[in-house]
Amino acid sequence: MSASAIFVLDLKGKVLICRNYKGDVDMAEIDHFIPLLMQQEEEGMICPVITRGTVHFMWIKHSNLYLVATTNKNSNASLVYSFLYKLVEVFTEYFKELEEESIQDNFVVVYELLDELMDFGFPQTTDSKILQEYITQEGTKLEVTKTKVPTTVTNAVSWRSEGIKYKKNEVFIDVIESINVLVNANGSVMSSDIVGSIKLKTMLSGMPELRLGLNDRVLFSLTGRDKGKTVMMEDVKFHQCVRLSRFDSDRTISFIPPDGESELMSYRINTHVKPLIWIESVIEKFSHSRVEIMVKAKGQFKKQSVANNVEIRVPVPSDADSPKFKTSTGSAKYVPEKDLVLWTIKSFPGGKEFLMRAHFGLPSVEKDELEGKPPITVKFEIPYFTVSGIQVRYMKIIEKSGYQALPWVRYITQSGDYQLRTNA
Amino acid sequence: ILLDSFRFNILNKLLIIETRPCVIPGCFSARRHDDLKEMLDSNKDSLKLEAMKRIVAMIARGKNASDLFPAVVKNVACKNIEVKKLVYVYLVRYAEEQQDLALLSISTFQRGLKDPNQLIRASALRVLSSIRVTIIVPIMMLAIKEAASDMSPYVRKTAAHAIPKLYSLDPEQKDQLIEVIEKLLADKTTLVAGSVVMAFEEVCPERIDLIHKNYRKLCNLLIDVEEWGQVVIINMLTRYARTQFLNPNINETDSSFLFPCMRLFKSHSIALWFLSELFRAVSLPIEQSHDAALIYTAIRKILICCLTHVHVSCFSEVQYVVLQNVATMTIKRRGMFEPYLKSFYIRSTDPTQIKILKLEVLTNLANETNISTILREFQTYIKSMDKDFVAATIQAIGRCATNIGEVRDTCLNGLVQLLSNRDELVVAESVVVIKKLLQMQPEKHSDIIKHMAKLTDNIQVPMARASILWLIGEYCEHVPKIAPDVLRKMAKSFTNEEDIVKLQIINLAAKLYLTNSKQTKLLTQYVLNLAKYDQNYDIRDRARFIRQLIVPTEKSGALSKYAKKLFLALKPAPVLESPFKDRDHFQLGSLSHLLNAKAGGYQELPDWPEAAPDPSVRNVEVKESVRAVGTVTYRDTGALWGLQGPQKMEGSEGCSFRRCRNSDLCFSSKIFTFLEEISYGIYFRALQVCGGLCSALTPAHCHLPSSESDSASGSESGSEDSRSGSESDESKEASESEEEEEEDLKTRKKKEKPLKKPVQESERYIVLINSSQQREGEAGFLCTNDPQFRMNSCRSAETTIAPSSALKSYELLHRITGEGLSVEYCFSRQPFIPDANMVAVQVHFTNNSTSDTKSLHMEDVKLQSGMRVKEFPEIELLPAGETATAVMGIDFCDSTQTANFQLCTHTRKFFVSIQPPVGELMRPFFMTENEFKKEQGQLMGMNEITEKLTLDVKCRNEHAIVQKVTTAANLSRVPCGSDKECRFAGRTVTSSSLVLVTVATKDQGAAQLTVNCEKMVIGTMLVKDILLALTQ
Repeated sequence: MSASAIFVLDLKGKVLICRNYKGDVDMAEIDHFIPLLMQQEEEGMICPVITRGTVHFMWIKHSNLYLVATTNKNSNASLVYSFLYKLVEVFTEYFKELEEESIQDNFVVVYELLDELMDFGFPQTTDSKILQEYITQEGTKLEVTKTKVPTTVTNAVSWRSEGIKYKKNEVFIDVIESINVLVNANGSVMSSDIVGSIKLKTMLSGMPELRLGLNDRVLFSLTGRDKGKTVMMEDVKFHQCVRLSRFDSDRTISFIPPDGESELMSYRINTHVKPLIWIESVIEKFSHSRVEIMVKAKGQFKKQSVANNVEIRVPVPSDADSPKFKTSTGSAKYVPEKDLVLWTIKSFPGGKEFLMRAHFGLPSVEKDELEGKPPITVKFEIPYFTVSGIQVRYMKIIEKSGYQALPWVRYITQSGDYQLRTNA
Repeated sequence: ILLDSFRFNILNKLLIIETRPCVIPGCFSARRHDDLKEMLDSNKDSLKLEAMKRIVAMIARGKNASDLFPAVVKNVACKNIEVKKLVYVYLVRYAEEQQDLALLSISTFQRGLKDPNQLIRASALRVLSSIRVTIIVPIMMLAIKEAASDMSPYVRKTAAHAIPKLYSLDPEQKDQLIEVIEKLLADKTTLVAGSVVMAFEEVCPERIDLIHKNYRKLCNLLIDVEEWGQVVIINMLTRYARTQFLNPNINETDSSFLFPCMRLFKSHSIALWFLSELFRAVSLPIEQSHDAALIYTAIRKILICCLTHVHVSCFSEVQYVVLQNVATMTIKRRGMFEPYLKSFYIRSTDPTQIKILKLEVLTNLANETNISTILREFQTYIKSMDKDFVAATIQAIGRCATNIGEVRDTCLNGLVQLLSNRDELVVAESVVVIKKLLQMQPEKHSDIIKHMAKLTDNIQVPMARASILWLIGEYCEHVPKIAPDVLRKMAKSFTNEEDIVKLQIINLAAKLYLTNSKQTKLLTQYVLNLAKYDQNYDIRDRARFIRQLIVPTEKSGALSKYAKKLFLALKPAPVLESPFKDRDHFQLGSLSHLLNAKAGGYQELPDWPEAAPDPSVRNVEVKESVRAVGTVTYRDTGALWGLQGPQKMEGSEGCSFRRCRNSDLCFSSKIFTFLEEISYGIYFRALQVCGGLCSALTPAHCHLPSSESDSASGSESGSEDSRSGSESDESKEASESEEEEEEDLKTRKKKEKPLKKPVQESERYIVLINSSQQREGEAGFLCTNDPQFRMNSCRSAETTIAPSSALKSYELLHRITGEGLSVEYCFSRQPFIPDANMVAVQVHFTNNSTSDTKSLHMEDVKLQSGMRVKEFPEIELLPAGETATAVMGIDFCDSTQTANFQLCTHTRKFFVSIQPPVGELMRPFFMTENEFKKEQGQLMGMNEITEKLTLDVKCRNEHAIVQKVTTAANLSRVPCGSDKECRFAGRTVTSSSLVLVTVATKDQGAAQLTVNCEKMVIGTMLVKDILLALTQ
């Protein structure tokens, strides 16, 4: 079905750890992987699947490691990549950081995990929460000999084990939206969408039943209400705990949450968003002498809201020198290794306008190569605010024991891929 | 016996090991591992564990630890689970190398398989099956068989996993393994489903017959199976669908698996898995299919999912795979992705690979309407720093120009402008592309050729120089003055040129010599002489060859006559094609598709069968289906709502909704679905949406009695639903019922049995109470899961239809002419079950005479060509004073022609005729507002008829309009955002042409009626009828 063997390599191609699942591909084949990769790199065409004879290497890179799956069968490509990323996710849960050192320090656990995650090339239980119950990091917990399969493996509710207890029962809901904008050089928005996710941090005892109410437009129109702002969500995806049938029938989001942190749902809204931070730039290049940059940033959101840690990155020619800056607020810095000016504004209230001027010298000898025109990118974070206007209307928590639990909600809007093309 | 022989073996081995420890190969390392051995031999678990950890770490590093095998194997019986697990890990790694020793451990596994702890049973089986030693095949087989009937699903799952392992070890076990697979396929737990299907795919994918009985069950389980299992199941189901159902383009299909699949998209992000082959399954003319709405929704889901992957590029590898698939799909299904063009705009942060793929998609999507936007976008890309990407962009422009004739000149001009770009690479690439473009219409573009000729002075990239020279040579007749001059310059620099350029110089010289020998004879000679002494033998060869060919000498008689023909033959213009053109024969999402080459074990999807295989093989015994209905089917029908609103049809085809397969009955099942929705507490909206539907049923079923009694009965039944009464304060109630096919009734009744309680008539009412009862956060959920409520709605659905008094009746036979027999007919608006293309006509007989009438039947049907009639069954006896009803079906061929026939009794014959009002020639069709608008956009011009009208005073509200229109024509309401517009949709009964009606209201009763219909006659008549209905 998918992989014949899984390898973890360091950057030089040395095998750190490997697991042969099917035995139908020679394990020595991996020695050809790095040379092939290098060859592709030289040709400038790196492809996530490399073929040598009948053997295919599907690989991903994570920090200073290559994770490679070999196969000689027609496997499902996206499944293999997903599995490799799942590996990274599980390892990261176990070791905090997945890198060469953490693999070397935890050979046994990694090997056991590899054993558990895949059987005969077919992925098995890959939920790190469940795995952590029976593949313990501390192999020394000898006294607690487990005589039961973790119920979670066989249970109907596979994502939550029973008997969880908290002194104080709380749920933290984070509504995080990141907006992706692509703006043309003449200032028109070419594409914009919002990618949102609702994250939970559950600290609840027992087996609570939760119900989340959002100002979902479909729900509101179903129930015939049209008061207030509603949100039309596209491509909604849920954590496996959400009862899809309930959602399908009446748009109720009801679920038994996994313990601790989890992403409850994600959605995408493809709408025309007014760019929250609008940038106007004039980049004047006087050949052989200087570049003058004027950037105007405007906060196009409510006056009450404040954007934090705004970073505006303005590209400059790579041969620019002797930077001079003038800003109406915040500070500007030249980052020569990335060929850009980084203008940081710690707090940017809505409706305000700020200016930055930069002046660079250019060498009198011009280099031959023509430079491209990279876009201006912006990073920011606006708390207590969502672009889409999505709201958590309620969170009901019902548990047999009938305890009172507190839901906390936090809204954050971030910049995702926020690019404004420039003229110069 | 086996066991005993093994034990004997084991004892022997042990003895050998104990007595000759140093004879084992690699004794040095053995000595080095002495400490480990000691630890393993100790009594303390902690020491053993420590030792095992160190050993496993050695394995993981790839160091050889095989010499420890005997010491480790002993510990396989260790009680400590942690130690045991590590010993297992060790065994799996080394069993193959040390087969004899591995047998030592077998008995432990056999004991493990009997362990009361399911985890131990499972892992014993797993390790046992992972030991690739042929000698234990019989033991494995036995273990798998036993485990397949284990109590614990976890163990059964492991058994399923062990099957392919055993199969790869010894393919001869296939038959026995298939038995086990068959048994496990019948398993009802989600945990097992994925694994057993995986085993099925590995061992016996050809035994599709094993799936029949489990098909519906698997469809239902799909949503709950873990994600990796889902992939396998979907793959298998796709293959199944391809062998068992007819092509959905041509015929209806059993697409019950689409639903769970679509819902999967909500649960995880790797939805591309599903793509597999759906797209090829569902080609464009889906409107014809009755599952159209379903399939359409499925495709939309896939699309949106793909787009999310394109947008949210967290893992560029996954994005890469998705874009590859999208690129393939865009070639055949451009229309699907066209609205999402902007999603494929390139961001400067994308990796080059992704950029090039997006470019490919954009190029595939380009057509006359969007080309200008795309070209503008391309212009930005040309300024990018990424050189490979810029080159690809220029090629993309070239492809757009070849594919879309209208913009060829624009593109060419743009490319010519690029020739003055400062970047040589850009110029070179443009030259190459321009060359290709010019080949299409060289005569028009001599100035471009001239311009390019000038470039030879500056441009250095060999490929570009070569292209220019070729162009000038090829079209030297268009640039007679410049060509020789270029040759002169080239001759000068000949020795310094690259090989590829030299060859083209020779070519140019030859062509000029043939056309303009006067000016260029000497030059050609010179060039050929230079080439004669070139270092490259290709060039020397070419020079010699050309000289012989073009310069006539005594020896070279025959060929030189044809030199002109040879050199100046008309060359066909190159076709610029997408590299993804041929990829679509690989299954989407597979590795083979990604590589564009067959990977090992690639299986072609079978083609759709010519004739539908017997669908009854999937039927499961009723007993089972009753249970399934209770649990699964409800969820699925409920699911219909959330996804796409009213266009949703039947969810689970399985079990009780089998009738849905009879395409015509989709209609009634839809209503049933709506009733379900209603029970889920979203009544009002549902009523609005199916307003048309309800009235289509029989207006008698939607009535509005006084509010008080209703709320009373409502609270009695404990099933309340609230909404904010923004439009009206009165409570509404409705009971809806429908006529059911007889066999359905049976199934339905069975299904209800466990729920049945005495139900009062009043409980059938669904009551809406106004907003005062509504609490924040609670509204709409009050009764969501009330089982009794569900039952009520079921019951209401079950009740047979009331006499259709409210339908307009027409007279067929007056009682005077009929000598006491009066016959009336009405269009029941029910689907005619025996034939989907017929309009059901309900005929109502009344015997007013004093004597009985016998053997009432039809005879001598006279029809216009194409029309068909399905006669009503003969009524044997109609006693005096009694009435009888019969249903007949007439295919009017979408015209209002009359159907003439004789109505016979035992004594007399009457000539009668039935003529349908145009509004009865259609049946409701469900679509969303967007679909409506889209369809409307395609039915413009001649197909659109617009009339202005002034609404009658009584029908100036939305409700009245809906009622009037749906009474006049058998259409369904399309949900609509604005209250100024009412939209209705239907399809004609015979040809399934869309009929779209829009009533837009303005101030003071003014309104505009628009009818869009492919059949203009129907459209015109329908306008008249609706106009009449709305103005009177």
